[in-house]
Amino acid sequence: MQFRVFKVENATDYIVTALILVLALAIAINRHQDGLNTLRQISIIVVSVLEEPLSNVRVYRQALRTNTYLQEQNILLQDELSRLRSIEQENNELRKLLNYQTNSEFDLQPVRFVTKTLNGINNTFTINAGSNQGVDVGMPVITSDGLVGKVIITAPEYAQVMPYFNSLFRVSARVQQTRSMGIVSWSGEDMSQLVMDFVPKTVPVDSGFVVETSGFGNEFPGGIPIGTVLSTKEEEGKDTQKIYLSPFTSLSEVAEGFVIKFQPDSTLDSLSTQTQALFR
Amino acid sequence: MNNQLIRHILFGIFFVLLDVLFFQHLSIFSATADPLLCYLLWIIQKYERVPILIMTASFALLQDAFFDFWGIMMFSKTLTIFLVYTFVRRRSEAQLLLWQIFLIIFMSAFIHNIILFVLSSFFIAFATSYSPFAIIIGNTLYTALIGLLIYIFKNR
Repeated sequence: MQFRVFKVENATDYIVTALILVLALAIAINRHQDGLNTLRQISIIVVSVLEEPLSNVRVYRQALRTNTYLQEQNILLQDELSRLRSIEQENNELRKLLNYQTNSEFDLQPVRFVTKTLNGINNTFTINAGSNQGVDVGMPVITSDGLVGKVIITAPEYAQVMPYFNSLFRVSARVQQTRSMGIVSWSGEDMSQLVMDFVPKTVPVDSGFVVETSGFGNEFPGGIPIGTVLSTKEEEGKDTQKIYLSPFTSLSEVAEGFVIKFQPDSTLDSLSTQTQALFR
Repeated sequence: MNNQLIRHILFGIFFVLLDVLFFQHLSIFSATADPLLCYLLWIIQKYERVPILIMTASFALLQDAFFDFWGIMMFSKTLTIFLVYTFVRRRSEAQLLLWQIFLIIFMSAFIHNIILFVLSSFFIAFATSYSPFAIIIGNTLYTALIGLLIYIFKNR
């Protein structure tokens, strides 16, 4: 590298350079003096004003990292919130069940629904209690809201339940307010309502009336709530009307319940068998 | 004041602002580039020594004001330009290859950073967790690369 060799004709260059360097050193040494402090304040203001619009650009990468972190936190918190809501709902249901168990006169077996099949006309549930817990075929399954179905198959530790939304399900029922009897079943079409048949047209039934098990038929004990009346429809050419019900228990939400250890009266069964034998 | 001088002054201010607003945030392992030095090396060939020294001192003082260095950049840049003036002028007369341009900027930036470091040590304005030598080499390399990129960009 060639640096400049001193020549007299270039003295101006050296003088100017020396003056600038001395001035620079003087500024550097006196930077904390009052005069320069004012300039410093001005420069800081100018830099701040210039940098402010660019601050978003400068922190872009940091913002991306923060965004990723917050998204992760959000997912974790959503998951936690979801679990807490589920636990709260379960807690409420268990509290209601405990209250029902205290008030009920039936011998109840608490159960949990372990599987649900609610996608066709042959819907079934599986519960975590079976013959070892005293659960038997035909026993009604309920929640604190009302009827769910009945046990159709039992294993030692599990049992299968036919819910009311099954085309084969039938239960003898009555309208609470009028004491009129009928049979409640599911039409196989609408997963939100049941149908009660064989109620005479002469019986006035209004929406909001409560329908419950009648206890007749020696299959279910009486007084188990089934649902409320939505509407009625007179059947043409018949003396009866169809009553459409909204069930109390939501099958899609039910998670815990009870099996009522109800045994049919053997005397009634015997009488029924004898009666049928008379007409053969 | 002719148009070229005005244009160069405006470009000089632009490079100072570019450094303040952009390059100081693009540090790599605490090393930062100095685009103003590249610009000064580029306009060396267009001016005599005294005008270029005054321009260098003015731009560097502006840079000092923005970085709150006050005199340090002014001193180091003025001295650097003073030292490399003849060398750069002579080399600039011929068409240079890219590696030669890189070398010129590298050597100039190295001298500048050495002066800057020595001077900063007196005024305790050079605080970093990295070793001073690494910073000097880092700043020099970074500045040389940026200068080379600016040169390539300008010629295209």
